[in-house]
Amino acid sequence: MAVAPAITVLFWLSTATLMIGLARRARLWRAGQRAPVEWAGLLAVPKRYFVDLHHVVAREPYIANTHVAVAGGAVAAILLVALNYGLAIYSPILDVAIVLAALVMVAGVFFVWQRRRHPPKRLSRGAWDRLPYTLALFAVGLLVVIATPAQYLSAAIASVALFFLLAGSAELVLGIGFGAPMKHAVAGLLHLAFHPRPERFSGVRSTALKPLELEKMELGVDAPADFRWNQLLSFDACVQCGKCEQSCPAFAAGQPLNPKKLIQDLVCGLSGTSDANYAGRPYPGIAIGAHSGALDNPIVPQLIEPATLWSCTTCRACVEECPMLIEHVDAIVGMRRSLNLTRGEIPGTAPEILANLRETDTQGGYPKPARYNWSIDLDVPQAVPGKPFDVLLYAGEGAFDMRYQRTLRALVRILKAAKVDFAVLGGEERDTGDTARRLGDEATFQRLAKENISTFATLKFSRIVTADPHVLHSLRNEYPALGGHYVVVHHTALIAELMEQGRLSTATLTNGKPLTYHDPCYLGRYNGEFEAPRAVLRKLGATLREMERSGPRARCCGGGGGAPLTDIAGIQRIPDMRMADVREAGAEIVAVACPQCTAMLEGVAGSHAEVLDIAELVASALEVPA
Amino acid sequence: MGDVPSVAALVSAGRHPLTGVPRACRGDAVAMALGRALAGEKFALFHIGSVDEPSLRDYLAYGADKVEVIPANKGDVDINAVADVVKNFDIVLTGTRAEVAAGSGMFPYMLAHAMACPVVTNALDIRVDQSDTGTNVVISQFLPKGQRRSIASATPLVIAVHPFAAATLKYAHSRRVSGTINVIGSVSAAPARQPSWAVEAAPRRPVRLKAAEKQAGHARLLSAIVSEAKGGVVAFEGTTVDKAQVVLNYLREHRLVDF
Ligand code: SF4
Ligand code: SF4
Repeated sequence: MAVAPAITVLFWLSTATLMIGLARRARLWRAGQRAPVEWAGLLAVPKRYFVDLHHVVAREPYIANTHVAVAGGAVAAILLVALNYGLAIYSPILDVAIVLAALVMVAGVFFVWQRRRHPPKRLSRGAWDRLPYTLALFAVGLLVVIATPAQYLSAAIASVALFFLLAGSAELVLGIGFGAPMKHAVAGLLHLAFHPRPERFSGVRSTALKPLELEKMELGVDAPADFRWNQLLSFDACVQCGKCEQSCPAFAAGQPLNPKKLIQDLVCGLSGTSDANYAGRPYPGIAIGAHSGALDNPIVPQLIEPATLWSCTTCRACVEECPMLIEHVDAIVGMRRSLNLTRGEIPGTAPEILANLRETDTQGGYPKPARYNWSIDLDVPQAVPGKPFDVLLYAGEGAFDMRYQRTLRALVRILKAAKVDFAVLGGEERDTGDTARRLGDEATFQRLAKENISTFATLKFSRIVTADPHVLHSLRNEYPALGGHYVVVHHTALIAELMEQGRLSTATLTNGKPLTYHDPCYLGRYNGEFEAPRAVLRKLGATLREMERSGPRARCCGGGGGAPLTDIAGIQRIPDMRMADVREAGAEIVAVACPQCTAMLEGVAGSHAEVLDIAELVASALEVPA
Repeated sequence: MGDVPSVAALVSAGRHPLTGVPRACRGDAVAMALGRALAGEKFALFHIGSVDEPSLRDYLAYGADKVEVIPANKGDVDINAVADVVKNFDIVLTGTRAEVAAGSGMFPYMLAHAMACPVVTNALDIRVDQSDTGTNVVISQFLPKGQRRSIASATPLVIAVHPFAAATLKYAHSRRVSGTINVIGSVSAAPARQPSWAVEAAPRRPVRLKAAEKQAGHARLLSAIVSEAKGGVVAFEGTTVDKAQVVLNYLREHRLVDF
């Protein structure tokens, strides 16, 4: 049996090649910034792979099963080869197991091939298209070499089969060193081990941005090497499946953003190449092949155009869909921070809004006491130090908007009807800094946050309620890193709670119009609150007609991340697409729960479904006790 | 003298009109941006006042590498001493009006007077032509109702920049912290040049009564894209009393009078 030693040699050669490739790639990752990582993460990889990653992949059963067969078969075969041939045991029983594993792999590869014949547009082509063939070479080569009884294995067949095996193995082991498709396997597993947000694996929705240490002149990401090293690693894990691209509202609107391309561009940046080999759909309106990057070269505009970064609504739909658990939004905001803090280059009206925030603590440049003008006739108590109360109502920037004031007034009516002990901040309320932060203005965010935290410290209350999910997100998730810890509830959650406790008596909605609910990104994907708003609507007797994209996969209204301010042109507007979703669901009322969503959906031209905040719906159904 | 003129900009302490928060005076920041674009390396920024003036950091953030401060107490500025500091520059830029104190807009005139050179105000755009006969500065000047005037002048000269001048201000936090503020020389105190004005209350102007539009936000947005004739009644018929009644009814209906 002369082929067995050949396999042994091939195995160790491949292992060595893989290791050299990995070392080369790791050198690139290590150009990144330090990051706190737990080595124990390596031990958690199997769980993170089989539970967390597979949870996302399983949303598409075809490719999930295919991947299980291909990867499972390959990994099993390789491990068995390592045992049987690597250690030169040459046991025939293990050979049977290897053959079985290789057969599973062949079956899987068949389905990969099937799909690659008519691939969905979101998939990248190029090097990825050769995978079914190279993987088949590996599996078939292995099968022939091992399963053919020695007496039938002529020298010719043996050398052809060994050649197949060699070619297939090359795909597997050279990938990481040369940045070819199979690098996703190694980088993906390491990414699971050293994920920048390890909390995600313990079931926490980790969505808060990490504060910059401004005193240490940490000013965001200018060149790829400014990313933390595990972020660089995470980009290498991308399998170019295009799930992110498919869910991205900016891409659908024809704005020059495609999250898949963005991650691939960052891969070009870390490996010092141009984007000419990218074989997926481009950023709408920006040709492929004209951009390139290097570890220490500024990313904008040589590698990525600024309009790409400013198109993002930070809706996290891409992150929600990514099977490799890549964090696009962190990368985008990281680069925005550098543009903002070191160059001051921000398009649209955003510079004006940021100047207003610096100079007036409001986005619109209003005097702060005007924030509560809408409540002048409502006799709303104002928070004063030394007088404890239960709930602090935080109005947010929406309070200056005449449309949104109706929602706030409705909310006040509800709080009064339920006899909630609440107060507002009045002239003391500043912006939370949320918009500034998404636009990369970390300095303004941190100043506003610290000042708000010291205002809160003078008051005694048990929790904060707000009708603005952006306020909710920053107060609840991002203030803790700066020393502010509060119980923050969204108004829909509070209303649901009051209804549950029987403190609100409501009639059923009378008009009986079909109704749908639009999940705000910052309430749903950012905070995992999908149920309370729906519970409230059900209590009102409404039959919800869910849109196709709702809950965790809801389409953004286009209002997040300062996108309405940077206002990057596309071929259609995001809120128009969302309103089309509403129409498709056959709804005449779209219930909303956020000032941004209200403004964006109200702003849709032409006749459209009525936009009503849940607070307005509840207030209209309030039964005044006799 | 090289091809590029040397430019100095004099900037004042700005305050936000509503909140009084220290900031770069908008018009002055625009003057600074124009100056930087014009002179590059040969640009210098001056402030007369206190080194501790909080708004100066804003000018750094908007692009100045350093601010040179000529110490002086508020209102006690000897204009001749200021002229002395900037006399070697080809062009001296100022804003049009300070955001604090009198804000009379007199400073560029007084400075030009002290320097014995021409002054051009409300500049929107500045172009420098070099020829054998010397440097020629062409200024496009703002006039009301969209009119513009082109003015040419030799150097040195003082230019007061209009806040609408086309300059993009880019605010960068890193420059705010890394820029420097230096003290240079000193300006001897001189009798206050504050104009001695009598302050009186502004007269109330009659307010035009206008019916509030009772439309939802969506309807208002719609009316922006759909043109529709605005309603109204022309009262031809009846006596003067009847006609007056029509007006009164209108005012009452829209709650513009309460009797
Ligand atoms: S970033 Fe994630 S979702 Fe997007 S293409 Fe890559 S692996 Fe797929
Ligand atoms: S956060 Fe939303 S808008 Fe931004 S890239 Fe992801 S999907 Fe697109």
